[in-house]
Amino acid sequence: MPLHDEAGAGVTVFGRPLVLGPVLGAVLGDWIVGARLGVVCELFSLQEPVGGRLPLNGTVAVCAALTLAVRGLAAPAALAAGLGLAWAYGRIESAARHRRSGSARRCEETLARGEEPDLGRATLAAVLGRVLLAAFLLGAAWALRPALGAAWAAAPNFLRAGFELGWGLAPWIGLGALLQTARVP
Amino acid sequence: MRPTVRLAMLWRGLFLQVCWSDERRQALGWAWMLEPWLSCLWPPGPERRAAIARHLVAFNTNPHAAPVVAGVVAALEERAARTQGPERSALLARATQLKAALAAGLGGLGDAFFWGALRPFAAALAVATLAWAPAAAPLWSSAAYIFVFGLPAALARWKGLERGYALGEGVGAALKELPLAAWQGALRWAAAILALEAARRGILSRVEPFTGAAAPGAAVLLLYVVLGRFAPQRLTAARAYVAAVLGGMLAGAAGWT
Repeated sequence: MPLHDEAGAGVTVFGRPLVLGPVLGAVLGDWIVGARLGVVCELFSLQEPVGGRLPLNGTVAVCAALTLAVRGLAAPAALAAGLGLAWAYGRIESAARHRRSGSARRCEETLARGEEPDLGRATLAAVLGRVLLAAFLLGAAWALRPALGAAWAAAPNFLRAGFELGWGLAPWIGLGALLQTARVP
Repeated sequence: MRPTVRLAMLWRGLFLQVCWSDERRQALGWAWMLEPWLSCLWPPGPERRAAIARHLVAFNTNPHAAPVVAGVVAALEERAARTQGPERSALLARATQLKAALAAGLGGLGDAFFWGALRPFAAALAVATLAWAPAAAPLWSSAAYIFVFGLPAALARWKGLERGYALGEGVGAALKELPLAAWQGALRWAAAILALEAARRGILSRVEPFTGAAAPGAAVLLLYVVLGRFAPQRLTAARAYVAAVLGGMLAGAAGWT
């Protein structure tokens, strides 16, 4: 599902957080949290992926946050962790884009040798790289759930107050982002 | 163009950005998208290799608009393959020029329409649907998003390739006849109205009560819109969220909560 990222591969709507969040939430048994996380992650990832800019990957964010929330982690902490993992995904993808800079030149070298480059293989490798990265991050979210739960329970009140305020205001911040993206007023 | 080739190009077009690189942007995905058609036109050998090399140069456009460019380039490549000598060279040079010009123009148009208007509208409609029909929310909000954004985007890809190939160099004139600016304006205002309607209802207050957040939430929304006017590039939702979390921590530490 993280493949269906508008700034990446498989440009379809099925991986958008507003589609995936409620549906995945319903499948996992809590569509309300799925809807709420879907709304927030969707609105947070509306920024236009113009040129080389990578907006927050809402698909990774909603999958990771839901993975944590349905396993019992408090929703404010799950959202923060999901957004953090989506940010990490974006950093790694950004580095990968830099590393891929020589790939077209390598194809040209292959052409110069009188052979045809296997463009499908290059695409498949990039797709697999994304799948593995997303799987690793979601696996990490799954594995870290007990540690995160313990940290949340032991966290001082003022830290929890911060995440709870962020959770409460997140839909409003998202709506502000929507109005900004639509350039209205 | 055979339907199987068109389908192959449309399918590959979904992966246009997967090999995105800082150096040549969508070039590899673009070349892979055109490959089925180039294989039909050019026999294996130097001509086909030259065709692939022509499309490995830097390329960047909106992925939903890329099929239009692909259609135009496919038509010109086809005409070039049927000619010889200087006429072929002239057609290929023309294809390269048009590709760059269309990619830049449609990139701007596509970004403004699909990501600046249609997607915010679809998102706003889906969010408002969650507030209007909470009982069937997962179904209806997802359906609204798929219907409002996914369907037009898929149609634009399908028709874009078809019309680009059929019209060739005349596609620019056909695109100018589309009232895109009017559609964009209408979608943006509709998105804003739906977003404000969702805000009025407390966004998800009927789905999940979050009491006490309405007043500060509305203030944050207003602040975001005002700040967005002054620093649109620097202000992102993620940064505003981090600021809210840190602000909440400071308030908690100061005993204000």
